[in-house]
This record gives sequence, structure tokens and C-alpha cells, in this order.
Amino acid sequence: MYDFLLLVHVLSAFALLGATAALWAIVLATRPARPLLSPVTAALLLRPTTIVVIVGTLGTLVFGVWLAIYLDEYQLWDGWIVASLVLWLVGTITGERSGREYNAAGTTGDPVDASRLWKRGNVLSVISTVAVVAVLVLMIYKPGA
Amino acid sequence: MPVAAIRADEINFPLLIHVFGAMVLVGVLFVASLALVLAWRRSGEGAVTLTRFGFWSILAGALPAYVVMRIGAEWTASEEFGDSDPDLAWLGIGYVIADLGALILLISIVLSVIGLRRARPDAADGSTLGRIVGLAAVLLLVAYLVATWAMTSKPT
Repeated sequence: MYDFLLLVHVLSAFALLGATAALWAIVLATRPARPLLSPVTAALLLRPTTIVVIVGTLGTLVFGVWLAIYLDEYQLWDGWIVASLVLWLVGTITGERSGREYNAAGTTGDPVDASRLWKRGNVLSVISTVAVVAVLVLMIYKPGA
Repeated sequence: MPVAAIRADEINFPLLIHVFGAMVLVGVLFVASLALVLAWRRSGEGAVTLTRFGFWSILAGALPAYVVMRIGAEWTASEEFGDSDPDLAWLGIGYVIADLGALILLISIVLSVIGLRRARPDAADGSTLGRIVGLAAVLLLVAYLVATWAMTSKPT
């Protein structure tokens, strides 16, 4: 049971961080100043990538909490687990908000507005990515465990 | 009840580098294969744009991520096992997949460079190369899924 929970938890983390890297590739390819992808083409890539992000986000939480409950040496209220949950929440909220900004940038007709929304999306994406990478750091170092 | 692994402190940083590189590599291969497979079913400018994006993802993303993953792997192994030969099945699986993966990735990079020069709406070569690189990226994704299972479950 432990091997299965750990495998699914790690695969979910790969889905979350891998899809985050994939989203960055799409974001860089749609920068308003010199886009490689049109909004229509980017949308084709964004739909499945967003699904993988959602699967990874939920999988890391569900199987991570399950692991913490299953293993005697970890408790949900351990400092590094609480910090991970908080960072997971920050990453999820800012990631979802950045998606809205990018979506608005793709649909607005005004180039100046599109550039402003795209930049705001980038700031939120950076916060989301840093939070998710910080969770990975906590998962590997397990400070206090 | 199983005991979760708490590693020695000196292993954590190289392991972080290894895992981070592997995650980025998987993400880049995912988006590249997605773009190249989607391009198969299209024609004209849309197909060319997706193919070029797939090639660029392999070139600019997959190679650096692979290097980071591989350096992290060697560093972790040297910290954990030193000069001894541990002869572990899961480690062997990891090395075989990493080395064969490097060969496939290298071929994909060469084909991507050629493909980027040929990817025009009227050119068939870019699309053929896109299909080959797309299949290679899907193959690599499946192989890295097996490697992730081996690294996590550590079969003996």
C-alpha cells in the first residue's frame, strides 16, 4: 500500500511540476511582442496541459495527505507538512488567477491591454511556480522529520 | 507499518536537482509531443506553427533539463554509494533508460534542427520529421514513466 501511495503521489508531483514547465513554454511562445503561437493554436495546447495541472494538483494533495495519515512517523500537523499545504494553496490560487489573466490577454483586442494582462499573468505564474518548487524542496528535505 | 525513507542530509540537494530536472524534462517532452501530435491532424499554417513549437521545445527545453537531471543523478549516486558498485535493479533500470533516452533525445534534437529549417506550409519534410520527433517524445515520456516507477518503488 505504501509503495502504491508513494508512486501515485510522486507521479502527481511530476504531472503538476511537469505541466507547470509546459505552461511556461506555452506562455513564452505567446508573448504579445513576438508570438510564436496564435491564441487559437495556444488554446489547443492549453486545454490538455491545464487538465494535467488539475490532476497533478489534486493528486499531490489527496495522496500526500493519505501518506501522512498512513505513516506513523508523520502527522498532518508537522511543521513541514503544514507549510507544504499552505504553499500548495498559494500555488493553486495564484496559478488559477494567472490563467484568468492570460485568458483575458488573449481575448482583449487592445495590444497595450493584452501586454499588461500578460505581464500580470507572468507575475502570478512566477509566484505559483516558486510556491510549487518550494513544496518540492520541503518534500525532499522534510525539515524537522 | 512501513518506514518512510529519511535520507542523509548530503543526498538531499543532489536529489532535488535530479528530481527537478526530471520533472522539467517530462513537462517539456509532454508539451512537445502534444504539439507535434496535434500538428499531424492539421495542415497549413496551424500545422507548421505547432511543429515549429514542438521542435523549439525539444531544442531549448529538453536538452538543458536532461543535463540537469543526469548531473543530479550521478551526484546523488556518488553521495549515496560512493565508489562501491551497489548492483541494484532499480538503479540499473534508471541508467539504461537515461542512456537510451539520451540517444533518442540526441537524434530528436538533430531532427528538430533540420525540421526547423524545413518547416514551411508547402514542405512535406518538416511534417515527416515532426511525426518522427513526436513519436520519439511519446516514447521517451513512457520510458521516463517506467523510470519514475523504478526510482519510487525500487524493485529488487
